[in-house]
Amino acid sequence: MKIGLLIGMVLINLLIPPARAALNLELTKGVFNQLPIGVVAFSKPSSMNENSDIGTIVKNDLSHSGQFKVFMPADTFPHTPQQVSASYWRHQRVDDVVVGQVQKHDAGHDYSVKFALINVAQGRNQILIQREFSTDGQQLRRLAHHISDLIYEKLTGVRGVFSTRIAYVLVTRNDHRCLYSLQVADMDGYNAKPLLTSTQPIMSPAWSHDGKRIAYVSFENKLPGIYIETVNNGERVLVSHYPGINGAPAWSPDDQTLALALSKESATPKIYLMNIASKKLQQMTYGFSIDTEPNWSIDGRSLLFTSDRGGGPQIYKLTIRSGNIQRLTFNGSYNARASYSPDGKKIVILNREQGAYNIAVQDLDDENVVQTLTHSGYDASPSFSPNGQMVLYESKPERRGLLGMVSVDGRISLRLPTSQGDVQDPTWSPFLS
Amino acid sequence: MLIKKVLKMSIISVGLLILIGCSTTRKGELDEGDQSNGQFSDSVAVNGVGDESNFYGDETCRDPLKVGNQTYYFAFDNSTIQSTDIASLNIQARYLVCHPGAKILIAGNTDERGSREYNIGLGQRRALSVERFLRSKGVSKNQILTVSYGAEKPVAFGHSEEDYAKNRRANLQYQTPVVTNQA
Repeated sequence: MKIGLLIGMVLINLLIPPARAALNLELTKGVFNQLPIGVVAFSKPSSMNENSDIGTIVKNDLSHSGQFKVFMPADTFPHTPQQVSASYWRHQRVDDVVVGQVQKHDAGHDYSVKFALINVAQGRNQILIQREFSTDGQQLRRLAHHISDLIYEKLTGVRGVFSTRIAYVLVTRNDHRCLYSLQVADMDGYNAKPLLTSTQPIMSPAWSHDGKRIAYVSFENKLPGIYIETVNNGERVLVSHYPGINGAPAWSPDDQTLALALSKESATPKIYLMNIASKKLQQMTYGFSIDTEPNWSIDGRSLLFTSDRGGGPQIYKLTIRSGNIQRLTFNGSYNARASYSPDGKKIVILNREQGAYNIAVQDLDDENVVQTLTHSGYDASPSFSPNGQMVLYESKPERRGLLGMVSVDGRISLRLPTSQGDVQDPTWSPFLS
Repeated sequence: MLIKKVLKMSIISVGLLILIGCSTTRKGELDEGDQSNGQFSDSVAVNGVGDESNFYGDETCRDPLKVGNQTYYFAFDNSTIQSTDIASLNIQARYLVCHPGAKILIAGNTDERGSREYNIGLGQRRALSVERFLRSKGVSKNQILTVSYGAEKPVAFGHSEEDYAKNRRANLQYQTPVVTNQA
């Protein structure tokens, strides 16, 4: 029965990044009062790959944040802080300028990269950051994203997420053949690598907090099972394949425990905790409702989960030690897939209002005020960025599934369509060291 | 073979008697009437004969017409079996009871709306609804495997009500070859 079918093929990391992005990140809405910044193309050896142009990557990162208006002059001068003309930039009404140089080392493939962030508001060149790095050709994009992070944090006070990654499921359909692929990509859509390719569905990828492993649901054995796969080498372990539903894995903050949804001998899924090392299970919820989509609090003491025990799906909070369950959502008849912001003060949810499925953020402090962030009516699967500023989600306003990103205040939005197939079920990585 | 011949003779004679008291059934149809025939004739080995031209050992295990993979549809947010599907389900149930080695997989599905893992739960309700019906007709638990695909295996991809209705389904799939002729 399985002969000739491609079921679970774990592909090794590709060493060479693809020439095009797997997902094309586009800013669709930025804030009104963006901070102007100049990014001058870094000087570089003529042999260098266009794809690794640091100045361009930094420009795109800062533009895509929605918070910067980037000026990139046609000139490729200046390259050092001393060469920057304060009066030129102030004339452009730009107070911050990024300049840099890439030089090839004589020995072997290494590059030396220097960059500086200069502020000219006071009419003179004030160096805010000046750094030098040594790296090889494969790591240039990664270094560029790191430079963007440094600039972003310096100017906004918030840690940047340009070096983070996203995991998602890509579905391609040819005739009646359907292929599901769990992919990991840079948050700008580049460097997509498949972790698993299968003719059966893959769902619910979840990053461990150390960013090294991803848990997910795979139907490769016809029935659902939960796997944990190590991102950099593809090694994986089947950790749950009980009868019935095995779904919605979620890592505890210390990565020792997996919360999951199992139905076992019951008709409906309930929330369980599994100690990853021993595989020992602890049942947390009971009864006849659908309980699923658990997500941990920052302190590891409670779980959010979706349950229809009250009639339709709503978000409940379970305190692990006491077993106490408290309902959190009261806005509308359908609230699902909740997760906490990194500071624990908000939750992001899938909310249905009059038949429209959109992403909303509920403020747990401020009398549970709910703000709807998206408006297509066909959205799902929200997750926070690790700096709590953005929400990643899936959207299918027409026939093709794509990913979206929206800022927590709703003012900035981006879309990440793929050129082929549907993208769905995304999740944002933690900060990666 | 001799036993079978004797059985056939007794069926014909008993069946003729029963025929007087029960509704006739046409060839190719298995309906509620067949079940009551079965109950009537519980003192003999097998049920009455409704079809003169086929002599099989047991009318309920006759030529299984309309046995095969099936799709049953559901209303929005609902896992109740539609009344129009009951006849087909009865046929599958009867076949499965007569062939204890036959196995099926029931896959529950939902339309694309809403949260994926919650939809897995809803799909499971649909698959179990079909399983419950079949088991109430005597099908053994060992013959049925259920799975939920939630919204992960759509057959229609648009946003119209028609597309959604096509996806809200339970697929009943035979995992063993369907026997079309009695030995």
